Amino acid sequence: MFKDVLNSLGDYTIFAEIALVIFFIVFVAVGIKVMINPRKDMDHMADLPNEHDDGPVGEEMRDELEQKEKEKGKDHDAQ
Amino acid sequence: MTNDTVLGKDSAPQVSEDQLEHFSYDDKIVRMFLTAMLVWGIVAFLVGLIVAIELFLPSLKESLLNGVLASILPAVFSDMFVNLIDKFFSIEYLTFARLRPLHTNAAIFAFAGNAIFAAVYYSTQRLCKARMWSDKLSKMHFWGWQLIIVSAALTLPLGITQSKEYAELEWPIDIAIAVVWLGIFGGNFMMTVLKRRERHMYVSIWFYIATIVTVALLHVFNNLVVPSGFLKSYPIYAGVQDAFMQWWYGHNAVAFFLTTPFLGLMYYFLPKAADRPVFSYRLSIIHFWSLVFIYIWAGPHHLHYTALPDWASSLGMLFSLMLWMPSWGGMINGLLTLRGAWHKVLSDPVLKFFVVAITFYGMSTFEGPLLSIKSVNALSHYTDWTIAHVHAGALGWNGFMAFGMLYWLAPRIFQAKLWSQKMANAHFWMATIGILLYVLSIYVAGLTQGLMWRAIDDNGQLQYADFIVTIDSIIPMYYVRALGGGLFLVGALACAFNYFMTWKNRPAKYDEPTYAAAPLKKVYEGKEATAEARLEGVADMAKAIDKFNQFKWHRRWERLPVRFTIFVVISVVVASLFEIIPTFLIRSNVPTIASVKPYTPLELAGRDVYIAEGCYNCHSQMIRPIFAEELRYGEYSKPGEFVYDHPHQWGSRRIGPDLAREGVTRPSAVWHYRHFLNPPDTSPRSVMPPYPWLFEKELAWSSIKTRVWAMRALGVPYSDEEYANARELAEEQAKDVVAKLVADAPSLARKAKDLEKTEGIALIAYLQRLGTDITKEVDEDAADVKDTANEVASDKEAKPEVGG
Repeated sequence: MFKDVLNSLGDYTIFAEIALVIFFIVFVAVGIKVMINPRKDMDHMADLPNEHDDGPVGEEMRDELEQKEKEKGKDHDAQ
Repeated sequence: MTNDTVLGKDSAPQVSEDQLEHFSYDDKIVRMFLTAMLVWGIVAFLVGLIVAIELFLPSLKESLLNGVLASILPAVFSDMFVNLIDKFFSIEYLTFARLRPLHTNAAIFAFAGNAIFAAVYYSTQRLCKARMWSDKLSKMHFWGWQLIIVSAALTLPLGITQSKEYAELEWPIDIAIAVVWLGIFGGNFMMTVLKRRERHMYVSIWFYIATIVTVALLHVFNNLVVPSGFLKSYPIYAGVQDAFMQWWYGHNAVAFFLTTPFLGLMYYFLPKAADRPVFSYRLSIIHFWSLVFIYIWAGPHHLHYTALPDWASSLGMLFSLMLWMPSWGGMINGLLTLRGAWHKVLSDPVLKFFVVAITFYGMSTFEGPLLSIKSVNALSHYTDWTIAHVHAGALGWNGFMAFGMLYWLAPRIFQAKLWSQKMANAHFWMATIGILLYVLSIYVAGLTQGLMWRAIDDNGQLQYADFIVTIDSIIPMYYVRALGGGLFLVGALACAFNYFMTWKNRPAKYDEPTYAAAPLKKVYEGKEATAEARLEGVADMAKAIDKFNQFKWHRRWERLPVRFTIFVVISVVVASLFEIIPTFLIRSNVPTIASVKPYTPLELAGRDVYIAEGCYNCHSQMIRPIFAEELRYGEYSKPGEFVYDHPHQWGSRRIGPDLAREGVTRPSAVWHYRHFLNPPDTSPRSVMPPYPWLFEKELAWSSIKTRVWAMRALGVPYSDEEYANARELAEEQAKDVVAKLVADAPSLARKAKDLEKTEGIALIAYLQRLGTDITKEVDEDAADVKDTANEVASDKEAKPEVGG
């Protein structure tokens, strides 16, 4: 049955046009959505990977890096 | 360690200390997958180097015996090297065509696959604030996947293959992949996401969900087959439709196995390594949905100017061009995440790897759409340009992301500082220089090939009519490529040593920190749970639109993994069906040709030898309607010529010439016999290896009837008589082929009886058949047959057009 229906469609290039319209609608909807989202929420989500959850050596390395950053900042201020 | 960051959020209800749940993460599984990634990576790079060398072996031997190397090395060493080369590369399991699928499968599914799993297991647990749902399932996933890889490493060199690129593995292994991927890994992952303690699903999780569901869909539908034995099957699709499904799968394997999971990896590990939040979370949302929606359409751009309907390949091109936007959005998002942290890139090897990886992502995703433009594709397709593009992506993007992640993870999962930062930096430079040498030389090779193949002289004839001239001209580039690949391999070995030494410095017992977080309530109570219309005194429809406009729906999707997954599946399935349904069901897309008949039982068996030897890795069977191509190979290929080709053998690369009209251009059996025994005898300077075993190994005669049975099950119109007497018919035809061979070369008379039984004779019978059907008269009896797979669609198609 499906074959008969599809064979009688004739100009099936319409599939490409439908595809483009669907994409365009989804793209615009998502675009508007992300622009409307509150900045605070977005900042929270963007920082989710940076929880302190990488085990003892990971945290030690993070502390060392932060210490270095601070020292660099101090040197910079002193100059 | 308590997870107090959650408690202060608006979206999470405040809880007292006694309501917190305590948990730890399973990092053992991350250690296992990361180690497997490194081991299989080295295997993949090594096999890649071997196949790269195989392409210039004749030149290397010549150089060792009479050329530059002979003048440098003492004669005894030169002879020794040549002997070693001859011995090593005369093993039938180590030919280029058998090893290349092993290289690609090892790189994609073993190296990149294990990298994905290591990343998923590390990041998912932390992003969900939950241990994996089942440690047992995690282990089963690890060992199941390694078993699959070992099965691939054993079966591919043995010539057990479906011959579909990146989907070569035979049906029992395919079933194992589906079970391990979807049942074990997918199930464990989704259950972990469902029982998470972080309300919001971070964008990396979205990319992982898209990867899991889409790869499962692609894998299952591209591998629907009818088995004709324990390790042999035929796909349910034929010709054009098989090619379409293969590249729907092939392109999206790149999209959903090598892109989306690595983007998930990037969005997690890059902020970690830079200690900065993602530059724009908004952009990451657009990046995700655009990729998921667009990528799935792009597959047909692999089939421009082939027998695929033009509308399908144009659609593929259009969506490929649209991919530029989200891909570059993602790249920019990645690079800008490093804002304020660029000074760290100078000293931190992790960030160095990540920056180069993201740059390669940008380059590859610029080049991909470029190659999908029809006029560019006419030049680049079948050339090494595609190989350069693929390696820029695989080595540059996937490889560098994986190594960057490894250097970041190693100290954390082994709880010991990285053994040597210097060695990691050295690895970075070796790999970078290696990739550049590799990619640049192969770009030159690809462009040279493309331009030489289409060069026409003042008389309207091919300027380089002898195909081998086009190979000769790029041999120097193959040397440079091998040097680049060698450097990349050495870098990976340095990484393995560094990794091993870091592991050696691990503590006697790993510390397993405990974290605490509040459980999520089953019913979400945050302020975004519901949206209320802000309008009064208006129609219900207006209120509904207002609620929709507040876009609470997306926040809800992001928090509801099942619903989110369903939407991803809908995006992917709808897009696929828009292309698949017309291609499969509209008859006019694949007009049949009355004179095209099923292969004889011997030709069918010979075709299986062609598949087992992996001939499609070097030879295409698709003449495009391009003037130079028709001059070189003959009349362009028609869709109706492939209706019995389960699977299609169009190929994607021409290291050797196209074979679509081989039966017309080289009907002589003795030519093929000599060619297989020693290719330079008939094609001087050929880089093809000799195949002497073809005339030593007996054909699997007992399975011929089963093969015909499987083809009949697929709708190929073999008569009852052909099925019942399949073996006898094959033996008869083999005798005919050998008789003609002996007539041309009487010295073969003494071993004619032995030759009749061999695989080589079946393969010759198949090659003699290629492309000959459309030159034959239409068999009126056959044209009367109705409702069969070779139904005659139109008289017009029975008389093929001439010209391009």
